[in-house]
Amino acid sequence: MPISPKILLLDDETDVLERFRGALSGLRSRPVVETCTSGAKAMSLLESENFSLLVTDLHMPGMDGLQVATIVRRKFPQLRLVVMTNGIDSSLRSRAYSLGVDLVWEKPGTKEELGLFQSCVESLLDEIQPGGFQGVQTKSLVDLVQLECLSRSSSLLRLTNGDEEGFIWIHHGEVMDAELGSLEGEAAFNRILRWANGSFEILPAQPDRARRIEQSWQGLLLNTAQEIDEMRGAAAVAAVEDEFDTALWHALSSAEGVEFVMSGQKASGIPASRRTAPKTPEVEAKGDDAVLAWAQKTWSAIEKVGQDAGLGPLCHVEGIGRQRHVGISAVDETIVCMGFNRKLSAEQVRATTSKIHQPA
Amino acid sequence: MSLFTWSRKKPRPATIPRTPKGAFTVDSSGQVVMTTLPAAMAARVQGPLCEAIISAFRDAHRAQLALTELTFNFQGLRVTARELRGGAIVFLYPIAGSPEATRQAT
Repeated sequence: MPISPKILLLDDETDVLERFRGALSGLRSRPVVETCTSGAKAMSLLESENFSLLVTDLHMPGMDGLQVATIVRRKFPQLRLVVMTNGIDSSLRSRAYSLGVDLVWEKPGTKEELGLFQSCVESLLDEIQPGGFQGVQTKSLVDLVQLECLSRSSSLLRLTNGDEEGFIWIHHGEVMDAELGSLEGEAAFNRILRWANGSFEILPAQPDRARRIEQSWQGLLLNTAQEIDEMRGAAAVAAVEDEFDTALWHALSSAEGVEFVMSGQKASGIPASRRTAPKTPEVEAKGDDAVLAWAQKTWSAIEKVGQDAGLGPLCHVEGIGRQRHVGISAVDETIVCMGFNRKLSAEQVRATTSKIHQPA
Repeated sequence: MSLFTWSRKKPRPATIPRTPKGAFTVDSSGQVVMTTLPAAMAARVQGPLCEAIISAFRDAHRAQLALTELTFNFQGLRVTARELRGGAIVFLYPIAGSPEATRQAT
């Protein structure tokens, strides 16, 4: 004789619990339905008894449904999980699915809705097989599409990333179409697959969907993987440059006698993109945009003279003044302008400024 | 010239542009007053440098940077300009370690 599945109902409202107990007890599989009114009580019941399904309300005092879902997913990965609430917004829905919830359901109000809910729960109970593996999917989208296509499935993938929602239609293991906002076809597919994270939901297939993607899924994934690699490469280079920039910046700012450091694009007229906080109020006036504009203009003019007259690349420039000294250098397309205390010698100014220059 | 002598003609050594070395003065209007640079180099270097240097001092003054000396460090050459009553005296000399400096030292 088959063992009846056990369902645990969790809701802070007892009348709701009784209503659902009645509805679920009448299912074809004749489940044993138990109820509780708090997350803590549910946890202790789950620890002591072997349940197949937990149906929990989302909004509860104390531990809410999402907190329960998080703990349950970690502690009882084999347990099927249904979250119910009054009125679901898409962000809550996405969040619930990303936690590994099997089903998010709006509390049924009519008899028809209750019937549908019963069918869903029944199908969830039917899917429970003795043995096998079950857990939270943390696969990349490429893995997910590959899995669907290799198994020659037909499905509609609903993917969410923050506020964005995209769809990928798969029919007999071929990607038929994709949609993301105003994008459609391959453009939408490529954009969706660039998402680094999000959640997915496998919806029933729509075989009537017109085919807008003609390329094979292997070709699509190859192109996308290439683009993702390029994006990662560019991001890694940017991170290294930024790290270098930051390290250099700190070294310069803390160098002896340095009053201010500013950086900006080589082209004149573009204001400073970064500047040190003035060390004294007096310095504030010195390190203004006029100084950076002068540095940009002087650097460009002298660099051009050097190129035209065959003097070689310009490395750094020092200016010795009665009130302060300045040093200019460049890293790629960025000009770095430093202000020095006038007590420093020309050699000291040169030594610090020359540190910025990176020989090609 | 026979074909034989033509074929034996030694190729000319490649000319390496010499790094300028010397000094010149420029007045406030950008005109060179006096120079010790060789004529060929003066034509190549002096004119554009004068204009850039005078302009750099003038713009620095406008940006409230009262500069008395500007040094431009190129890869093998250092150009030092000292402000001189609206004009400038400009020194050009190879930087130690550059090919020109090494050649002159030997």
